[in-house]
Amino acid sequence: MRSRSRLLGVLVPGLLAMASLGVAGCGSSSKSTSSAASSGGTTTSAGESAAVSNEQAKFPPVVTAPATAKKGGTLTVIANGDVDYIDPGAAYYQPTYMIDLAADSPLMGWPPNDTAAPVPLLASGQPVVSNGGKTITFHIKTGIKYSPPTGGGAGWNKPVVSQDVKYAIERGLLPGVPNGFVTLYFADVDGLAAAQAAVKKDPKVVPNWSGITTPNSSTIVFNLSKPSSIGVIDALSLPLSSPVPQGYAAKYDSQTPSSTYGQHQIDVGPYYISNYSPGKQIVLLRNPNWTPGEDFRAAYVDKIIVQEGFADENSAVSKILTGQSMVNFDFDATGEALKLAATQYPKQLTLTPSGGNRFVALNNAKPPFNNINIRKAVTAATDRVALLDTRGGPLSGIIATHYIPPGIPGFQQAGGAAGPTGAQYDFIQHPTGDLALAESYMKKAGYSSGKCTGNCTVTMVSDNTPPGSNTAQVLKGQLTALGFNVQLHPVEHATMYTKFCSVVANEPNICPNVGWVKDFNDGQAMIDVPFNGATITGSPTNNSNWPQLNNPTINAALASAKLITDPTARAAAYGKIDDMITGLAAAIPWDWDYETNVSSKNVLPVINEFNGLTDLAFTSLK
Amino acid sequence: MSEPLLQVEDLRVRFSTEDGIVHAVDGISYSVDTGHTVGIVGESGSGKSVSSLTMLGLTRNQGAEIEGRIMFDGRDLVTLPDDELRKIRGNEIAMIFQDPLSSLHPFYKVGSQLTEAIHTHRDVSKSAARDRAVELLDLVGIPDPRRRVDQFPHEFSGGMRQRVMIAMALANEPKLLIADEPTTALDVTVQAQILALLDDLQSRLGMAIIVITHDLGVVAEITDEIAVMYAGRIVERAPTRAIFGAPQHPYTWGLLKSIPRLDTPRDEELVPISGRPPSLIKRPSGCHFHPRCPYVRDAHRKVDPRLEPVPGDEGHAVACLLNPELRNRIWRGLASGETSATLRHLVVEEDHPVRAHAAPRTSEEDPA
Amino acid sequence: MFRYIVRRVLWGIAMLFIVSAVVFLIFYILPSADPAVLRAGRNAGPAQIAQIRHSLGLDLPIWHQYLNYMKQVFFHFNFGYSYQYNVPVRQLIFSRLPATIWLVTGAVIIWLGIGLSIGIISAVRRRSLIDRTSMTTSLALISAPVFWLGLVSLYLFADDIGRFPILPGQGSYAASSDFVSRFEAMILPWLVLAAATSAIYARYMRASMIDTMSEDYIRTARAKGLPERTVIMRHGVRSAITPIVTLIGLDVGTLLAGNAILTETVFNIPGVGRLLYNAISVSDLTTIQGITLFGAFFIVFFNLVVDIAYAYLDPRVRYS
Repeated sequence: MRSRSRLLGVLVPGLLAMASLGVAGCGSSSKSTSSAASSGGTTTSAGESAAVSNEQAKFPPVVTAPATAKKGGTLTVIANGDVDYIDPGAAYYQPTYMIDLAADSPLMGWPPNDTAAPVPLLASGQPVVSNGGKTITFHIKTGIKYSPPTGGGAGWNKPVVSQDVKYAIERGLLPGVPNGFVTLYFADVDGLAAAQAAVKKDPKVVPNWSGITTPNSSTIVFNLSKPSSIGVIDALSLPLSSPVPQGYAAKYDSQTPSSTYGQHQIDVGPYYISNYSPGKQIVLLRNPNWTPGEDFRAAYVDKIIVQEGFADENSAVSKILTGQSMVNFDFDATGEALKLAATQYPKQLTLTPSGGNRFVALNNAKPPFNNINIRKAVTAATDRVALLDTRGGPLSGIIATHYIPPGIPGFQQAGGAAGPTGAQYDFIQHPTGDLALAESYMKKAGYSSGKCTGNCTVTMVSDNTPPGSNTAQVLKGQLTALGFNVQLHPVEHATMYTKFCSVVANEPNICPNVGWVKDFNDGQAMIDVPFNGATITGSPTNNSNWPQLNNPTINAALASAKLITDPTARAAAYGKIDDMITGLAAAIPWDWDYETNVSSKNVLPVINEFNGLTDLAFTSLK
Repeated sequence: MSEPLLQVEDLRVRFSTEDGIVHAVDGISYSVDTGHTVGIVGESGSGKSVSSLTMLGLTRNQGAEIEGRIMFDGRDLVTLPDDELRKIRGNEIAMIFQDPLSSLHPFYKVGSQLTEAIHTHRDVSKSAARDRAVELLDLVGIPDPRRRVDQFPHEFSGGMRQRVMIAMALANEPKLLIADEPTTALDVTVQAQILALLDDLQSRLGMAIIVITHDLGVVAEITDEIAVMYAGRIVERAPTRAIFGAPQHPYTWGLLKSIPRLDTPRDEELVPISGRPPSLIKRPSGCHFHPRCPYVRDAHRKVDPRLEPVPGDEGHAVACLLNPELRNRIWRGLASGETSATLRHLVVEEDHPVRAHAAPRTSEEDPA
Repeated sequence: MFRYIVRRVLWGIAMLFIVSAVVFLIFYILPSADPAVLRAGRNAGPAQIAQIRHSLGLDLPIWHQYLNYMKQVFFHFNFGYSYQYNVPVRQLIFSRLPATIWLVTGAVIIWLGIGLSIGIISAVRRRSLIDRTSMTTSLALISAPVFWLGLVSLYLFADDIGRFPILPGQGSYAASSDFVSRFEAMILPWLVLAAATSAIYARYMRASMIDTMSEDYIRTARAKGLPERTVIMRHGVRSAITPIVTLIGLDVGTLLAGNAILTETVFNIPGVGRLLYNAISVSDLTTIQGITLFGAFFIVFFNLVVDIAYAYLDPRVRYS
């Protein structure tokens, strides 16, 4: 590693150690696509051989608890906002998983150092897949008991049974428990349509999902219409499948407009949520009914307090770095705070690849970006290093050259860090931009001068707070060089999605602040939804295929790749689709970011590589 | 003859302002005997209020330069320290002001303002003070005093309010009461009542009163002696009878002639004093009244008259350069209805008799 | 007086209706996030979104939604559910009010104490060194943005990141549970919030005192032989303070309505102001409405209290 200048905090490009990127414990978790995660590094394209530094290797995450880890103490988790839902059945936001991994026990789980495939958690062993991949059978552990309920009161003193797991998944169909995964990953489970119809008739009662059966109290079976078992098994690591007894929860699930189970939940993990004040704090205590050794989790600290409302991330990071017993929750160290941590508190900073990407979505459905040459021109003109700098530069992530990020199967197959080689990908091979190349594509599009003439107005809707707003500003400046007149409308984050970028009819030409974070370490979890034409028709007012790419070849390829069970073949298939999408210049990928986590001096943090966040069940205090 | 209660000796009060030094009071002297009433008459800006405020030390914190002596009960009020002077204020010397509505605190009941005056100088119980307050209200002629003592100033009529002010001033049985324009804000019938009240109180309580006013009609009723002030000085001082019967100063003549009379014909015009009161910063040279005097001579522009007794009448002093017989002739003429315009010829004739030598020519100075 | 109060109360209720209607309108006219889509979560199909929209009552015409909402508020004191947190808005607001009340109460006491006394001293000693210094300082404090003052005070005095670590810093209120530690945690926020306001009150009080001390009844009080101190306090201040009382009512009302947002943000105090800001960020209409109504109520209420107090302070005022 080349050293970099400590005094200036400026990062001098060093040699890229490709090995460390490929081997580093990847597949860490990430926040939801709509949050502002940031981390970075610099990469070069295959075409340029300039050396870049690999910051990530300097701040590697610890993924196992040290043998000398002590029990006891209170850990304070410093938070900007709140969880999206305290109800594990509805949780979608990545930071919420930090809590759910410690309080819930889905059928499958993720130990901090294992990201290849989920490991049995509530399940007593690996599931049995039979019937040509269309039947999945799980056996669950016996004697697992529920914790006291959140907020006190009478709980549920019967042990966990398989019917509780079935009920937990079924309640995800209620409008009062808005689970964002159930139709995505469980679409092939028999009886979904009938269950959805029953819910439509009576939204207060959890329907019976006939495709999920419980022959006895310790067995649960999933019957699929297609052999897409890998996706289903992965999805059973979501908190959705953490058991919820119907006898206890039905009275809460029948409330409108939304279930109140979350505020009265009973948990089965090593910790339970004892107190929840929305927007203020969450308190987790040791679950008295969890037996150490009943699953792979340890539990060192006695109490965890999530303190919310820290609006200024810079001062929150300072507070963590200089204080005691604190870690960060839903924000990363970025910009100045990141530099501070890297230079003055290097032992308290970890960079973990997030398993997510950021890209600039170009609206393929309407002019001018329905023309592939214009899309290629704009991609070639973009200085992605400058975009990355708005998030903190090389400390915050590395330049993306396609869509599947490091650590997800398919990454290497799609070209790895350097990206796809070959002349047909030339427009993506210049991270700092190549105006001449861009102009040549404009000429191919019919603009003889190499710049846009005539009607050159394009609309862009972005975040109105940094760093998203800064990224948009920088991009706007770069597009002007090609003659485009960019009308930029910064709006609130939530508004950006629900009123503009995710609404098919209303989407502007450019949505610069989008990205995708894996749900699992699988190609399907990375590039299916954001680039599948079926997504557009499936939810036109809540669309996550922001480029509005609807290419029949790609759609067909995605449909068949879903069914591949052999891991090698699966990775190769998704890698190929990734390159196809890149080749179409559907969007401009620019960042594979890091989770930059900070902790206080007396904390021994363990990072869960699956989501890139601190694993509360393994973190301890000195 | 006993010592006068109050003796003002050559009092001067000056204020430094951005525009120059204001000579508010420019050397006045007078005295007040126990049980007597003195009236100080003049236009606004003549210095009459400043002189009485100075007596109570109320001009000290405005940056005034004070010279002269004010002897009260053997002590010089000009040099008396603040805390001693405070013991006299509202106690041995009391003052009432022009506008009783704005001079009483609007937020406090009348009774508590009275008891406050009492408690400041006497150590009495609350109930004793309250009883005294009721007694005082009764003394000044306010009906139903037990009920009205708990009312606020705005619940009283103008005349009643002035009675309340008088009651407050009398709370500690002062030896001297200074009344600064006590009736100016009241209408005529009420005026008469208040003046009668003051008169009555004086004979009952034996206190001295100084009445300051611009209204000669007011002082005619109740004063024993009158001092006429102009431009910070006393220009004439005499027993009341003499002021009205045989005034000696042209300013006094002007004041008397400008009072409308019920028996003058309707179409006869009022006779104001021409001109305006002078600036107290740049005062006219010579006799300060000369720019407005109908009987002015050249010499009057250079020589400043002093307040001197009228020959043959020790109690009557005047500051005028005209000789006394001339003055008497002019007054007789004015009293019988002639105008100052016609009477001026008397002065001119005297100026230019058939004589051998003429008065030396001097340059004229315009009034400020 | 009674009729006057009744009239004011009725007018206050009308105001609350008007305010809530305006908020409704603004929410629907300006671009904001779609609450049904936000609650539906990711990848929800249109049918699911429609179902959620229906359960939230968002598919009704605006006036119908408004009527339903107001009916709930008036007859059941029910402010609906927060779209974001899935808890009743009333519960949410009540859980945030204590922090804001702490903040406002302490700040009011400090700014009244400092502001009024400096105003009185400056007025009585006009053009002295004290007067000039305090008026210049007050101008500086009024001009300084609250959040800047807050951040600077944290940088200087916060016990975790400050240069001279003597007072609890950011987030300490939320982390404290007993009275004493809450009190300590509030000292910096109180000072910061009170700084600019005490400067304003000092200037107002000074002007009011200067006016009052030139009144005739002050001259009378001195002529009565009262000590100057009594003249200033019992006669001067008593009159000068009445217009200030009106100010206090307005300031306290608006602060309780969420005006302390900047202070709450800098010090991470979980109060009503923060809640309102968060609610606006995610277009949580019910919470926004609820806070606005509470805020409007506070303002109306405190204005009424102040007007009634005014009648007691100034006996000349008579409401008919």
